[in-house]
Amino acid sequence: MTMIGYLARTHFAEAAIEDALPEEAGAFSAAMLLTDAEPGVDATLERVRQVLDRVSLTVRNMPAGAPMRAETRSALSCLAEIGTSTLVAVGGVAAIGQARLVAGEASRRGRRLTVIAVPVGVFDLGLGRHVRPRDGRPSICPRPDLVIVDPTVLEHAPTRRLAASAMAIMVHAIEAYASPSYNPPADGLALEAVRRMTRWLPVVLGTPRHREALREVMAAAMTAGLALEKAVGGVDALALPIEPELQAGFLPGDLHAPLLAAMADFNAQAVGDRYAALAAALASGKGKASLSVEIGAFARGIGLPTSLREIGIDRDRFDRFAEMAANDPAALANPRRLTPGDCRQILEAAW
Amino acid sequence: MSVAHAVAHGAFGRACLYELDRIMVPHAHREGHIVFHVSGAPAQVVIDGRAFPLNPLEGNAISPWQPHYFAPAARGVPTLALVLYIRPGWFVEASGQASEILRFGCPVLAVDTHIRGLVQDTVRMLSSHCGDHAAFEDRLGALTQAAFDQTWQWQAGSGRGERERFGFRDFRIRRAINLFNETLGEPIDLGTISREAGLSRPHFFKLFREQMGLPPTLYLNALRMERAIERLARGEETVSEIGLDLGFATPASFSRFFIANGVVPPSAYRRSVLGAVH
Repeated sequence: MTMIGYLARTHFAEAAIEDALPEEAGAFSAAMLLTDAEPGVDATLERVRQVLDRVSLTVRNMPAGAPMRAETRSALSCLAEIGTSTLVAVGGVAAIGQARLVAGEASRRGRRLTVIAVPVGVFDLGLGRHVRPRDGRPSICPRPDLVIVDPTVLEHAPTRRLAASAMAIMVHAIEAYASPSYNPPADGLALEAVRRMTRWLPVVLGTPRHREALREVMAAAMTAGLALEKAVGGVDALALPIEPELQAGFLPGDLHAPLLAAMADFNAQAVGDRYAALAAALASGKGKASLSVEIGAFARGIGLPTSLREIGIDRDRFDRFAEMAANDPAALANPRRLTPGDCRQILEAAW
Repeated sequence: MSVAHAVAHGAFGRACLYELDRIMVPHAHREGHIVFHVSGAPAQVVIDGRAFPLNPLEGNAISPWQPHYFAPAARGVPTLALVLYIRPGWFVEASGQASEILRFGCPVLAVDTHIRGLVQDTVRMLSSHCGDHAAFEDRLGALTQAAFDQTWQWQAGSGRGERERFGFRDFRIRRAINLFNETLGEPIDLGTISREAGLSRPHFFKLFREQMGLPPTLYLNALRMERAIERLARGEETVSEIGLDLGFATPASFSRFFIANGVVPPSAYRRSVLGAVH
């Protein structure tokens, strides 16, 4: 018996913000609007305000990074003061994850909130099973009731950031596909996300206003988000303790290719032929190399680092990172058991 | 004498804090069963005839209907253990995903820092009778998920094979199970049950074990224990009434059966059930 419990109501189209949001917003007159510092959010926020001109919006700004569990109580109080049960989240992981955490907490208190997500950027678009707050362990949160996926929000995204965040979500999809839990639909979605991202991300990075490529990259992110019904794994566990110590100019997504390459070699025996399918997807069926080689080649091709050395990670901190990673809840979803010694070995291989 | 320090019943199943110092008889449960060492002497849990360690670094995961029993280091040497009986249906809802009906990948759990923290929180909430129902369930859900995920991870030298899958149950075994449920409390003759199911007695035992993973006698004991525990927790009948109604000739025979299959005497079990987390 495997419980497969998704999808979210989703509008996916260019100008979906203008075409779908007003109609969907017809039923409410007031809402709390959560937003964050995601690049390009201001332009999207302006579009949302214009189409929701009849709705009284109370705006709360979330700091960059992962959402905070500590924020949920004050957000719930704010909703009570406004007298609404509708949350509109415009932005990235911080805003949409925060809205889901608030909805999860409300649900525990027996209250049902409506969450509308307007993602800006390439991430799981609020569709993954878990939300991982900065100040707590990952928890299962309700998915947004409505997701407005409008690929035009990516038109002003800096290419460097787009490459790193696309790599992060693609690695999440790879880990979902390789994770041992049984979920055939999520497996299919994960593999498709990798194929689509590999095909179209280089096009977007070469031609940033390429409409079809923007649409396909956004579709890949959405597909990967849906694949995150399955858990992510060891790369997530290894990346998290390193992220706060990244030097200026580097992004969390820069860590994913080097870590995945090393992790793939470590996991190979446990994963079996699934890595071969992923390597073939990355190479568009042309290459015959291992996943670690293919992911490295792809990262290099889109201008991302392929080793932790290039990112300037302090090697003296490896023992600490390894200890934290081995005891991270995400490590439990890795196909192969991870000890602190294993994590240290993987970090060294990624160096 | 084993002691039940705290027992919580809920939609999740049961969470118990037991001080165990005597060997149990082989038995099985409908629930997924997870055992963590809390303090005291290391011990063993024998699962499907193989002994596995229970100590601060290793816990045990027992799939529904998998025969097992606790064995102390030596008679009278106590081990304090957190013992969870997790209802697969609750786990499906709590986790959003429960592959293989809470069937664990391997019987040994490495108790890492993350899992140890969850165990300590659960024990604290259970032993101090504190925490709201939702917070307790939330913690149990996280602990069960962590244990479940870990048992499916590959580890060098584990010898873990492919996932075992049971097919559809034979209609004659389904009929026998229905008969068990309908006649529980009456004197049950397995020869009669096998005939009514359309099988000879030896063929019935063989087919039952193949399809259910345990002999029909253990299955029947598990059904009796389920009924007994449910009625003891409800607290509306005397212990003697429950025993007699389940087919035991005397209160003493019911008590012996309950201790052998469920750690403590039925009256002690009833006293340990916490009102706060019902």
